[in-house]
Amino acid sequence: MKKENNLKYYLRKNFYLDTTVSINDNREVIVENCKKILEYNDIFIKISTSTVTFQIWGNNLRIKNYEDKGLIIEGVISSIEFL
Amino acid sequence: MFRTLRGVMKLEISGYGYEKLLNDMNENSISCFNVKSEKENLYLEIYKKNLSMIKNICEKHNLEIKLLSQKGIIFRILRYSKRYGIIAGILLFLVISFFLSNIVLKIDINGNENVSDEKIIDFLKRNGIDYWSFIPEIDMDNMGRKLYIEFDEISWATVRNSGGILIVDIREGTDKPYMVPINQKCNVISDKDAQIVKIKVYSGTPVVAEGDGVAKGDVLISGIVTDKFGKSQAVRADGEITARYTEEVCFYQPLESVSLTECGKIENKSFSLWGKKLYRKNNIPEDKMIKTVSRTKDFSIFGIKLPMGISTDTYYLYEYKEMIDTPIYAEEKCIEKIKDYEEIFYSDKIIYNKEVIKENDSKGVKIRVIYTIDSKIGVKQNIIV
Repeated sequence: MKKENNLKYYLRKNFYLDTTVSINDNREVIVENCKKILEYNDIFIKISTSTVTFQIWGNNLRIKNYEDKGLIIEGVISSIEFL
Repeated sequence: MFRTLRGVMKLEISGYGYEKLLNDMNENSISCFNVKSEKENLYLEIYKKNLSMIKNICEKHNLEIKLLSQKGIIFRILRYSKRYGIIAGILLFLVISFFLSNIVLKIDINGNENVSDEKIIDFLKRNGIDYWSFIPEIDMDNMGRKLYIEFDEISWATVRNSGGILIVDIREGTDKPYMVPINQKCNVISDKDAQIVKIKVYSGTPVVAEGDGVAKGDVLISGIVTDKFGKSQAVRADGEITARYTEEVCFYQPLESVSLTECGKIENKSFSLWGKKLYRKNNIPEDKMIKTVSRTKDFSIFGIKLPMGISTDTYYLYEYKEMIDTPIYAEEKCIEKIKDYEEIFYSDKIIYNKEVIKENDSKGVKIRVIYTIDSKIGVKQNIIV
């Protein structure tokens, strides 16, 4: 079981399948390897990736670009919570 | 820029659970951007090609879709897609451009002096090159060689095209200049029966003196020179000898004469395109002699000349007419002839004396003129040793 986990971890890391979240000031969040948007409105976005689920709170949130499992969220971000 | 080229559509999605739409779009690799949620509506931009897929997804999730705006060059093009006149105009323009750049509209011949343009154009015609010939079918390299072979005067020729203009560049060979054989020994001999007026010797021995009379063929300057030691050697004799001699010229003007007189003119106007006259009237009488004067006035826009214009051909018609002159008029004509003769033949000579003898008869006027002329005489005659 431990070996399996190690291999999974190794593959995810080397094939860049890990979720990457970049935050620029409180204006922009870039999420890579996003699996699903669970909920979305102008103050709240809940995103599920293969390993983690997190939610972003803020004002005037908008998805600037959403393609190939990459997501750029713009707006005034107040908090990010990992569930 | 790229988005503008592809065409972007702004959509309004209304309904419950538009997150499912976003997830399905991502699964189907449909790009979307500027996604915004406002008052339970979702606004997003997509590429035009994905619209049908998004419509299907919306139907699947019971979402309403509304097109708000669309921008991009593709929409502008599509707007004109049913304007057949514009499409036909563009196609016609392309066809005309292709046609005009692939046919011979004008033949430009450069560098020819001894071989006339007409001869070259005639030769090109015989080899299948004429106005309106299809340029890709012309073997330009071979034509240059053929021109070189055909005309002896041409030392190099090349044929090329610039758009619809066929350019023939020619270089003609130059004749060798006449070489004066300075080592050739010679005498100077008289070519007329005359009396010597002035003698100037540059080389050789003068045989005659001023005032001497000489006959045709007499030696004037000898090419044999004897030095102070009595040794003789041949040289090339040279000098200027002026002599006085007489010449008799007879002029005759018949009272009845046939002369060429202008009897009218015809003007033909035609439309000219790249030097080619597109319309030509054939109303020229064949039994008359014709002198043609052509001139073309090209159209211009803002001072730029266009390759089209109006060409005017003026045909001056001449015919022979029998005329009977009075003796006085005939004599005047005769005197005119004398003047012309003097202008042509004695312009570089001095007329020392002129004796005019008139002899009229019933058929015409005859004037004999005896000229006494001071002129240079002497020709070189080689000494063969």
